[in-house]
Amino acid sequence: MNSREKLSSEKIFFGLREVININEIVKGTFLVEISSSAQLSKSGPGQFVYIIPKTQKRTILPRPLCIADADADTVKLIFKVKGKGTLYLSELSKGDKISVMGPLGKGFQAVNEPVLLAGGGLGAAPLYFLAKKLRNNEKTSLVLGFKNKDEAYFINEFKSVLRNVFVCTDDGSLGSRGNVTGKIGEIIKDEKIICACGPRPMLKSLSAFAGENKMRIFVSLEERMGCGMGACLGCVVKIRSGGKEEYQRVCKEGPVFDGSKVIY
Amino acid sequence: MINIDISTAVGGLKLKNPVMPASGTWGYGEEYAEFYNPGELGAVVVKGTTLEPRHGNEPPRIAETPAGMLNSVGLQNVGVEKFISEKLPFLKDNKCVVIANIAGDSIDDYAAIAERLDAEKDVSAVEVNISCPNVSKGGIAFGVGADTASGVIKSVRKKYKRVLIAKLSPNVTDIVEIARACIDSGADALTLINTVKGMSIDINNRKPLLPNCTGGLSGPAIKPIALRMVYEVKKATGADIIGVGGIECFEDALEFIMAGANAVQVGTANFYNPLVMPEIIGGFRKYLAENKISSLKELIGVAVH
Ligand SMILES: Cc1cc2nc3c(=O)[nH]c(=O)nc-3n(C[C@H](O)[C@H](O)[C@H](O)COP(=O)(O)OP(=O)(O)OC[C@H]3O[C@@H](n4cnc5c(N)ncnc54)[C@H](O)[C@@H]3O)c2cc1C
Ligand SMILES: Cc1cc2nc3c(=O)[nH]c(=O)nc-3n(C[C@H](O)[C@H](O)[C@H](O)COP(=O)(O)O)c2cc1C
Ligand code: FES
Repeated sequence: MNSREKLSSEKIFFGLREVININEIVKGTFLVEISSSAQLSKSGPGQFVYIIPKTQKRTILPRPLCIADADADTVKLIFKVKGKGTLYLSELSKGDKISVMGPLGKGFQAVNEPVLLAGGGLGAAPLYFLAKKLRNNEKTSLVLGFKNKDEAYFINEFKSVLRNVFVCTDDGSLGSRGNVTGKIGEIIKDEKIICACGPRPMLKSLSAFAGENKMRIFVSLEERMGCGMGACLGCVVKIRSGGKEEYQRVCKEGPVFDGSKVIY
Repeated sequence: MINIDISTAVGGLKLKNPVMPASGTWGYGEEYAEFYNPGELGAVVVKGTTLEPRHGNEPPRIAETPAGMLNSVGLQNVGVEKFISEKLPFLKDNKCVVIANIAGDSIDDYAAIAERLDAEKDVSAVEVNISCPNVSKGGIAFGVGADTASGVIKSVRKKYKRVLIAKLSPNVTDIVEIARACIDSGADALTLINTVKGMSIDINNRKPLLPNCTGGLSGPAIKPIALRMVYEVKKATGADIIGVGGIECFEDALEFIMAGANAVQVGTANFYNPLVMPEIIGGFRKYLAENKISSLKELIGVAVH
């Protein structure tokens, strides 16, 4: 046993993983499958991993990515190229090694009630994992929102695990024209819970919608991270707690928060 | 087999090994306990602590830069009372040597927090932060002039009887002058260095990336600056020094020891390698054994001429 394995945590994996597959699923958006580990296979929907590509070019800080699926063999991640970190990730090939830490953060809690899933753009990634856990739940509906048809991905995969999948795009080039909140308003039945991931403005309007309709809402938030472990206080967001406003850590108390408590 | 001794001492504080986390990068020791027992470290330096709790600065607080990162956390912390009641017991249970990093808005603040910690025997030393670049009042404002630095250290010295360490800012013209002022005012040792003031611009939004405009640069980018300052201060004053800035492996840490540091702190590297500190401790043991050196102390300052 090397020193690293000895020091590794029971709950959190830290070390190198192999790229099993990497594909550009739509322009600029990649699906990467990496080898799993005992700890990673226990990931839950909404949790994330902290990643550094091991290539000649490297970034200092790891990059957080939501876990789109995980089992004993593989962990799936979906990411979009934004800057250097995600560009280097996209340049990986099958067989390459990357440094992975995870699973990190608190994800979506298990729910047994009818639930509405709402994903905007890349926000669909963690919802795939959640949808799989809720598989065959007749009462679960999913709304996916994208800018246009060229950015839409994973729709068939979602349809294979959930019966009620709705797609909308800003320009109407796929599914119906409009945004996620509007679509949720149209399809809502007796659901009491929304689980959402996507851009801030979408989460804000969905949280307002949930409030008006007396629904509970859980949202997955993003912030720039330092440590990913709760130690540096770099990744905070403002949350209402016990009548006060306080900063809470996306990497530790989140990334999934009660949407009614978030100060957007 | 020779007996390998990697223990060290700073300002009279005995440490079983020379490796500790840099304040603000390791929380209160609980977070990384997931990976190893914090009691394995030479000491644990906790998050900068103020008299009252602080919210810190608006996010985003972090930006990556070439070979480093900028942060503008701005001393978010639970305040000294909660530190003592909620955070200290965990460190004590794990048999950590605890160094409290303290900051204040005024000299009276520093004195009050020092007095409060003097009553806590489980805190072995205070590291007086007169070098935080991310708060408008206090912090660095005290660390850039020899007179103000001296004023803070004197006031803490009056209230705090155990080991007093002054943490200095690199954002000064003459580090030796400030170092001397702190030693002359009663500091037992110095920590060199805090972050280097820097900035980053978001070209899409055409404004500074951090809402606070500037932030503190840390990571490998600042290692040569930190090393130079440790060297200069050791050479000029002979003071006990804790070296910090950009250490990411055992070899980096050893450079600091050879430049005159009695111990080292590791900050940013924890973020990308949570096992970096135990790896550095192991590295010291291995190096001494391979080079048939019985005590780490023999290496302190060997490169200072
Ligand atoms: C908990 C969490 C989960 C995430 N999950 C995913 C995911 O599953 N798929 C995915 O594609 N992205 C995800 N992100 C966002 C992803 O981490 C960033 O896009 C990535 O870090 C950008 O790195 P970069 O080096 O490519 O860009 P940089 O060069 O660092 O920055 C380029 C641009 O990317 C944006 N950016 C940078 N850092 C972040 C950040 N932490 N969050 C959001 N935007 C950022 C900024 O707009 C910036 O201008 C997640 C973020 C968090 C915090
Ligand atoms: C996120 C972050 C928070 C910090 N908070 C503090 C603090 O509260 N008090 C302090 O004295 N220094 C603080 N520092 C500075 C570090 O202790 C250290 O001096 C600096 O990061 C240089 O070391 P490094 O390059 O190994 O990170 C902080 C640094 C970072 C990156
Ligand atoms: S990233 Fe360090 S506290 Fe969240």
